[in-house]
Amino acid sequence: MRTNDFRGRSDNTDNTQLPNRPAPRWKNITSELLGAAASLLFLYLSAKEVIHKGPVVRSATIVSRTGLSPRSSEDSLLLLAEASRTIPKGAAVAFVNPLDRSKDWLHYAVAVGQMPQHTIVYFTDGISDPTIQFVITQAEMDSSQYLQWRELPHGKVYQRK
Amino acid sequence: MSFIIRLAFIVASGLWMGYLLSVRRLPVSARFAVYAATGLVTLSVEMFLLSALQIAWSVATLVALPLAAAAVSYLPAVQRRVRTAKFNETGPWTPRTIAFIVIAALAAVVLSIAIFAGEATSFDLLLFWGPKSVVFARAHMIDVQFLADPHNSLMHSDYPPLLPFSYAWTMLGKAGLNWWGVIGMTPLFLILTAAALHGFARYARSPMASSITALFASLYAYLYIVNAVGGNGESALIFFEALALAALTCTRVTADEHAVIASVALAGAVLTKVEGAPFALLSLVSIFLSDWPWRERVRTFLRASIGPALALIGWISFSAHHHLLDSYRPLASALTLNSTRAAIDLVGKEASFGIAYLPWIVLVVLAVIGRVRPALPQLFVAASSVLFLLFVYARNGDRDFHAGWSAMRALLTPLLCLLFAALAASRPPRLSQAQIPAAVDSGPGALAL
Repeated sequence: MRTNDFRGRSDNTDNTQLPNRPAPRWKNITSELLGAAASLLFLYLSAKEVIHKGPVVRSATIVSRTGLSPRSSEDSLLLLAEASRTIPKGAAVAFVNPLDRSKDWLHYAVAVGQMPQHTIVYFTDGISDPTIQFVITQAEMDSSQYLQWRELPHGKVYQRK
Repeated sequence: MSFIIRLAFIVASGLWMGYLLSVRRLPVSARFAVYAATGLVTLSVEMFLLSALQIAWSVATLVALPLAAAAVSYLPAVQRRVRTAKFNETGPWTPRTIAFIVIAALAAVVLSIAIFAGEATSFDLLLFWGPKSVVFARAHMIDVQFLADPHNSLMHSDYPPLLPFSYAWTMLGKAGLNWWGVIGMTPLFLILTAAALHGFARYARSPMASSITALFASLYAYLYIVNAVGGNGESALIFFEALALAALTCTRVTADEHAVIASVALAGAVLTKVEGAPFALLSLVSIFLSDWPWRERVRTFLRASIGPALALIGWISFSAHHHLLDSYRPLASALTLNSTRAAIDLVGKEASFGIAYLPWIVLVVLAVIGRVRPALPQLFVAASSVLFLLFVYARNGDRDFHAGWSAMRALLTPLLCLLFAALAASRPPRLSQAQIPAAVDSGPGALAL
C-alpha cells in the first residue's frame, strides 16, 4: 500500500500490518494502581529523608546539611566568603588547613569556585611559594614569612611579610 | 532575578525547534521540555564553537543567533498551528490524571525543600562543576591552560562541558556564581523531565502517562535527595536521556517522527557527562529492536545519530587537539573473572539504593502490563547499560572507591529505561496510515525533518 504520510512524503509502509495489540485494560489498571502506591511510598520516603535531618530552615551555605561533616564544610564556605570581601580583589591567595595538609587539593578546588575575584594559587611549595600574597586558614599558622593580617569569624588571613 | 532571566534565555534559545511540525504537535509540557533541552544544547554548541575559534563569549553574542533563528522560524509556525491543532488531541484531564500530577508536583516541592535547605548538594559541584564554570566565565571561553594544569587534574580536563557552560552562562558579566540558583536547577531538571515524560506519553496516548510520571517524579526526587545530586550532572543527564527515550518511544505514525528531538537530546546527554556517550550509542542501537519496518528503523537511526556523533567527535577532537584527553582514554586494567565478580558484587550491593531494592518495583509494573515486545528497545538499553557499568567497574583498578562513589547514581539510567519500558508496554497500537489526518501540513515546515 503506497500512501502519503503526514509530512506529505511518499511511503510504501503499511503500519496496519504491524503486530501491535494493546495491553488488556485490567492489566493497565493494576499496573497503574501499583504505580500509584509506589509513588506515594517514594514521596513519603523523600519527605522522611528531609525531615530526618532536622527542622527545615534556609541554611547558611549550600552544604550546611550535606555530607559527613556539614559543620566543617559550612565553616569553610563562610570563611571563604568573608575572606573574599576582605582581601583586595585580584590578589594571589592560597587556602589551606595547616592542621591537615593532605587536603590541599580539596581546599584549592573549593577556593577557585568560591573566590572568583581572586587568583587562587595551589599550595605546591607550601608557604615558601613567593607568588602567594595571602593565606586563608581555619587554624593558627606558624610561619616566619607570613603575619596574621585579619582575624575573621570563621578563620584567619595571613599576609606575606 | 537576573539568574531566572538567564534561565529563561536558555529556553528562548531553543524556541527555533518550534519550526518542526513534530514539535508543534506535542502537548505544551513536552514542547517546553524540548525547547529547554534545545536551548541548553544550542548555547553549549555556540560556547564551544566560540571557544574553539578563540572568540570571547558575551551575552549579546550568545543570545543573538538563537533568538533570531527563533523569530524567523516561529512566525510561519504560528500560522500553521491551526491546521495542526487537531492532531494535538491527547484526551481530557481526568481527576485521576490531576491526582497523579499533584503527586509529581509534591515530589518536586519536597526535592526543592531538600535542595534549598542545603541537604542535597553534591560535593562535585564545589570541587569540580562549580570551579570549572567560574574559571570559564572569567576567561569568557574554555580556559585550556587551566584545564591542562596538572594541579587541576580534579577538574577532569576532557569532561563534557554542557553543565559548566550552562552555569558559566548564568555568571557571564557577574561577580560570581549564584550557587543557590545553580543547585536550584536540580528540581528544575526534575520538573522538565517529568514534563517531557508526561507530554510525550500523552501524545502517544498511553493510559499510564500520568501514573508513570508520578512514579518517576517521586522515585527520582527521593534518589536525588539520598544521592545528594544538587548541582551536579545527574539531573541534567537524566533529563536528556528521558527526552531521548521519550522521542524514540512515543511516536504515533512513523518511527522517525521525533528523530530530530532524539538527536538533540542525545547530543545533550553526550555533552553533559561521559556516561552520555555509551547511553547514546545503546539508544541508537536499540532503534533496530523496535517493531517498525526496517526502512523506518534505518531512517530513524541515521537521523537520530547526527547530533550525538557530531557532539562526541567535536568535543574529543577539541580535547585531543589541546592535549586534554583524560576520561575518554581507554582503561588500562584487564578484565578478569575475579574483577568481573567483584564488580557484580559491588554494583549488586549499590543497586539496593539502601532501601531493599525498592526502586526496581518499576520492573513489577512492567511485568503486570505483560507486553514485552513493544518494550524491547528500552529493556535492551537498560540491560546493556548495567553490563556496561559492570564492564567499567571490572576494569577499574580502584573499583571499590569508584563503585561506592558513583554506582548508585549510574544506576539511575537503567532505572529510567525500565520506566520507559513500562510506558512503551502500556501504550496502544500506533495509528495506521489510514487514521492519519491527510496532509496535515504540506508547508515548508513540514519538510524540515
